[in-house]
Amino acid sequence: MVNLRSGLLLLAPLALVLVASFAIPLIMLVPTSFREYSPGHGIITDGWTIRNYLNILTDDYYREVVVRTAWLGISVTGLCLLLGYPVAYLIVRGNPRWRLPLVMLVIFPLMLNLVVRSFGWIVLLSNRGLINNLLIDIGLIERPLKLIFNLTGMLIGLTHIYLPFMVLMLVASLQNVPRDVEAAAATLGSSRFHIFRAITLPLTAPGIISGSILVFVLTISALVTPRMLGGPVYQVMATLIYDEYMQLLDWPSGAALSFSLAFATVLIIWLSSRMTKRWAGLA
Amino acid sequence: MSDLSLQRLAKTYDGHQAVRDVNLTIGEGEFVSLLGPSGCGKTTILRMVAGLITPTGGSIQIGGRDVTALPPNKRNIGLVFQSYALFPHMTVFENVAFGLRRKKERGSELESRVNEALALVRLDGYAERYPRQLSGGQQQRVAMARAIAPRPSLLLFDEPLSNLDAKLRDEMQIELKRLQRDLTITTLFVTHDQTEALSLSDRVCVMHDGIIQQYDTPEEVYRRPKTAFVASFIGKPNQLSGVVKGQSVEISDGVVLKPSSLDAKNGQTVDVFIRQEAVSLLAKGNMSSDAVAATIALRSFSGAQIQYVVRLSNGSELVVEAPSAASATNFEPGDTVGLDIRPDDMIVLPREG
Repeated sequence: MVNLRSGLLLLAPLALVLVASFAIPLIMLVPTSFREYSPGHGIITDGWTIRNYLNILTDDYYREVVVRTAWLGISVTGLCLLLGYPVAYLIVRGNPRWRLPLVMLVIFPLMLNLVVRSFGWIVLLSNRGLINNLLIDIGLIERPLKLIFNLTGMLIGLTHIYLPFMVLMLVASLQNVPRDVEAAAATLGSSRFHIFRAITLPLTAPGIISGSILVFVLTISALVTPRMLGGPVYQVMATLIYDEYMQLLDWPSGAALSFSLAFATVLIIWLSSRMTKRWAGLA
Repeated sequence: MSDLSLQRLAKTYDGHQAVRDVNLTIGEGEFVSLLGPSGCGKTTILRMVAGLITPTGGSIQIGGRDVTALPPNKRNIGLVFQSYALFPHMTVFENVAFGLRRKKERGSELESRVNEALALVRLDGYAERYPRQLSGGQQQRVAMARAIAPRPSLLLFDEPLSNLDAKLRDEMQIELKRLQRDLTITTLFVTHDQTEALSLSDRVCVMHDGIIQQYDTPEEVYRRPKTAFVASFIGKPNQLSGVVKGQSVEISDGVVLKPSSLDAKNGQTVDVFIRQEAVSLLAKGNMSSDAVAATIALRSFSGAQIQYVVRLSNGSELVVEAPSAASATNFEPGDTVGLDIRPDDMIVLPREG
């Protein structure tokens, strides 16, 4: 066993890097988020304000982006869960011969660069993209469907990118469900559907929750894919923060948005980990 | 309650025959053990009866009804697993109620039958606990209560006691015996522990390599094994080989055994099985004429018993188990002794192959 002192020593290098490159810049941003920004002049350094935070709740545009981001997070999480559970179930309970190929299939997209994957979706989804051309050619539609630079495009792209994380979390929790426990339910009169509902699903609840947290947090903080598939106009919080900083140079607003997003993320993780503890306490 | 009948039941895994054309009938209310070393096919048979494994051939009938093609939930059976397999997210009450709810039991009838089952395994007052709050023995009792509560027509046990420590195992064995006497449900019990099988069962079915070696009462299996495998598997036998000469078996020059019954031709090569507890050691002075001379090679004290390794004049060794009563003569390595082997306890079987 490692004692406390050597434990701290082992942690020290990473802790130093994190403090220098993450904690200190973050703390330096706190005062900025309470300053006023004047277009043309920059940050006004005399006097403090909480208007940057109030704007997020009161300004119609900001509010729309916040709601959209939350909705996007929930939808992507739900889609990943619906699409991922059957795959995870097949990997764990299917023919062992198919396990490795299936896991490789799930992991493979992760080895590809994020920009490349997002760009792939642009090729497929744009007005003159593969899907629209195909649908027009076989006569199903006359005008191209709007599949990109809106919610649809982001949903498709983000679900695709975060699905592997969900599947891997679900595989881990399904592997912890003993076969004998399911077999016991079968001998006691459970149909296959009832076994799933009464035994498998509740016992994989911890995996469902941690997979959902992971996908939700990654989705609401994603920048590259929403930028590429949402275009310059269709914004989520991460792209908005980027624009506030880099395009408008409105650092105070950007900082306030960043802290709000970070706070929301921490709140969600905390709430769900409490939920997991209560469920896992029974499981 | 019903009887169980297996006809030419077979299971092949990738060319390996785990169970080969097994025919077995268990009478109504009878308690039968499938006994054998690991890999003999006993668990495969149990799981095929439960419907968890699909047989490659043959049929299974429970109470005259062919269930071979039915899924487990349509067979009306109770199965107790080696791993207990309790539902970890449910209380003891809900675990036991699970099968009853599947049979549409509700309300006070459900409650009384759950409590009845818990009382049978002496776990009243534990209904609101979760499985992880119970000891291994208690968990196994919950598993039994869960299996018997829906009153199955057939009860199956898959090595239910092998995860428990020795002391608990003895207690649970008595518990099981009591339960079996009270319920008289047709029971198939799979184990590799011969003491368990012999003490619990009405009949024991000894298996080896997917084939039934002998299906008999515990006494018959112990006293009159039909095959060399059963003779060497049951009890703690010493094995010698010799040649039949008239009414006796000559092991080698000067070493002659006289079994009470001999069913072999003159001159045939046979295996003689002698249980460790069937031999008495005699001091040099009071040897009878039938006693076989031997020397003590090793002595090992294990509490109630002392085990001696004795060497015969032809060099072969036997293990002899003697009670370690203070009054009994104590032998030391190097002593010359006489072996008094009870003629009834010598099992002579023709050499196979």
